[in-house]
Amino acid sequence: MTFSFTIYTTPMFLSAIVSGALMLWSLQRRTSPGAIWFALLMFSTFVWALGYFFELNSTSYVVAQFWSKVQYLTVPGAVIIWLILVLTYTGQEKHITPRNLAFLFFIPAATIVLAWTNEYHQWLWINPRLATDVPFNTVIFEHGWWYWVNTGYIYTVFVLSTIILIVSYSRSIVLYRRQIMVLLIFSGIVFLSNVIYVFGNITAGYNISPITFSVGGIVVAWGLFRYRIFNVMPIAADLVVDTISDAVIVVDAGNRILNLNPAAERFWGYKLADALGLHIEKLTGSWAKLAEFFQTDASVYGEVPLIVQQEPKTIELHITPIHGRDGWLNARLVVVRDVSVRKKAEQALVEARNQALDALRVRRQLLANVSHELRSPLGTILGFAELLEGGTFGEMSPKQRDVAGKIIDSANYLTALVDDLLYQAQIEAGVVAVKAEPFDVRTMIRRVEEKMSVLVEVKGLEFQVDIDDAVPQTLVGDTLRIQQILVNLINNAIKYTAEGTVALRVYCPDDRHWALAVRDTGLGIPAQAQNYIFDAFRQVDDDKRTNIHGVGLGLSIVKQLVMLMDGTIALNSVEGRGSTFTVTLPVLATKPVVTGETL
Amino acid sequence: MTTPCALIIEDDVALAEIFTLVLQEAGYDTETVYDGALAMERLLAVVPELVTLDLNLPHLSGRDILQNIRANERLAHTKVMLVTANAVIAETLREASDLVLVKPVSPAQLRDLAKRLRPDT
Repeated sequence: MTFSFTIYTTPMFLSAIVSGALMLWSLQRRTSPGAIWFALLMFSTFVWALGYFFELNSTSYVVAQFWSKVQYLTVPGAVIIWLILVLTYTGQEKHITPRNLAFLFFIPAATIVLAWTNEYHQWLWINPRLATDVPFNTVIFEHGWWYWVNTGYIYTVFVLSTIILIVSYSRSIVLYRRQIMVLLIFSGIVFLSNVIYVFGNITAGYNISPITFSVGGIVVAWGLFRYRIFNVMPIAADLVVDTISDAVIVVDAGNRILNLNPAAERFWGYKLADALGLHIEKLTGSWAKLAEFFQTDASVYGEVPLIVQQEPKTIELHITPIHGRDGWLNARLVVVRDVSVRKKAEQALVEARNQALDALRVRRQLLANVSHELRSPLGTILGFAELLEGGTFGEMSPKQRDVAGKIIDSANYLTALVDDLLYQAQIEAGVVAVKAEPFDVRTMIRRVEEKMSVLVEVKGLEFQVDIDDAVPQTLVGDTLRIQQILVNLINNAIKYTAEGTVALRVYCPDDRHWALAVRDTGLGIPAQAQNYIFDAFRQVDDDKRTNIHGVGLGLSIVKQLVMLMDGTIALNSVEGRGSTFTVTLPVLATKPVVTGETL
Repeated sequence: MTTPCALIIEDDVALAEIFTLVLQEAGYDTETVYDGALAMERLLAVVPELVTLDLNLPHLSGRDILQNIRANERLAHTKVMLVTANAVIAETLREASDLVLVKPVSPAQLRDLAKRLRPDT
């Protein structure tokens, strides 16, 4: 047996287990910045504690010396790892370059080499031997000169790390101080234990450092878990605050400024140095509602108008109180966002909407007025012309009567045109609504037939009207509008048909639809024109149609009415042989409430 | 039998003249009111057998005049011919009036209708 177990070694064994466990635990979280360095630190502690455990249990000097050297494989570098951890945590990773690392690890590496070659030079340990006056086996020695180089170096690096932590602590806002405190506690524990070991004789050569390292490791691990120090590093948070475009202000409980981020400096036109300690009202101006915001203990959110640097602005304020562990208010975090642009855009939108509504109102009024203003003189023209023709003002010569007739024809044509234009404008303005009322299909068709047959006969065409028996007697819809559709389609058919037939057929293509098909044997519509003839003011323009009048609204109105009725319109046309327009409308079962707007 | 009287309530002077000619041809004595505000006064003074009522009138609309006529017992026998350019509005007043004419009104049509509404026919 080269070593025996003694009771004094138990804490060392436990330390090895604790630091080993912390290493593994930290490795699992290695995506968190700094976690990997913490794992290395715990690995170093693990090797140290385990090596020391075996050293303490050794029965011969050779074995004890071996385990003592094993500890020196990782221990000299531990402080450098600690420094890296601190640098990472305080956001100064930029210093961790390969060159700096090589420089920092130079002395620890030399120490490791010197430890393993100590018997040749005794620079590190002089006259190492097993202690005989203590109840455990440990290698004791006098300190060689390199021992002090190494110790001095370790202390220098350690003090440097601690200074970095303290500076960072004083610069951090309250929220993150506890996290830095966790690291400082670790430093303190390690420092104390080392001082005791190196300079004191309290432990009689028993080095408690591995124990304090693992205990400190638990503290840091607790920090990891409790404050997530490796997840949200304060410096990262600082970076966020510094680069965020929102102005961030921290005020103390008395609303005096503790911190401004660069955005806040720009927004308010104050340098942090000048603003420090000023009351928040210096920036915001003093007024009641804002004062209220800054008096409450709860989170506040509000949109307030403010004059900032002589400019009126709308700002969004988000005030978050920061409470200490004792529950008292420590500070307030004020996030200020300039929403003036958005606010202006919102106002512009509201104004634009009002203007559009006004325009619509004006348009509707205009339509009503124009309707009246155009029809009234037309009525007068028609009226007087008819009275003239009828002999009210005395007997007319045949020539005079002929002229009066032409006036009447033109006035009638103009009236129809005005009707179409007004109707088109009404549809465009969205003021045309279709009713859904029951009506007798056959009666409606008869009316249309009576109205149109005169025109068909005048042109010398044949007029066929056919209603399938399957079409229900009563349908639901807007009978006046449907008549208008039919009149427009039949008018169109008559207009473009020189000889032959105009036919109207009413049928049901399926259970849920009924259809009106108007067929003619006229000019037909060229294929390329079939795309646009339903557009307002578009007509087929060719030599065959030069003496046919119209502004191209009939089919446009038909199509829009059909769409208002949730129907479809189809065109089947062969140039020179004729066209068939088929309007398919849904069979409405119930009678919906009549909706509609009137001019 | 006295000649029936027709009151023409119409702000368009030319149209009122046509109505006058046509209604006289149809056998009515006529009087014209150009302003809505004066209409009721003349209606109650004349108590006409027939009224042609324009909807779009200055000061008091044809719609209001129609309501006043229907609410007044002295005018219970007065026939009202509504004249409007707006077919949609015309629809809404069809029940309250005896006849609705949509502008432009054909003189021949007006003459026929006026004759038909004469109390002696």
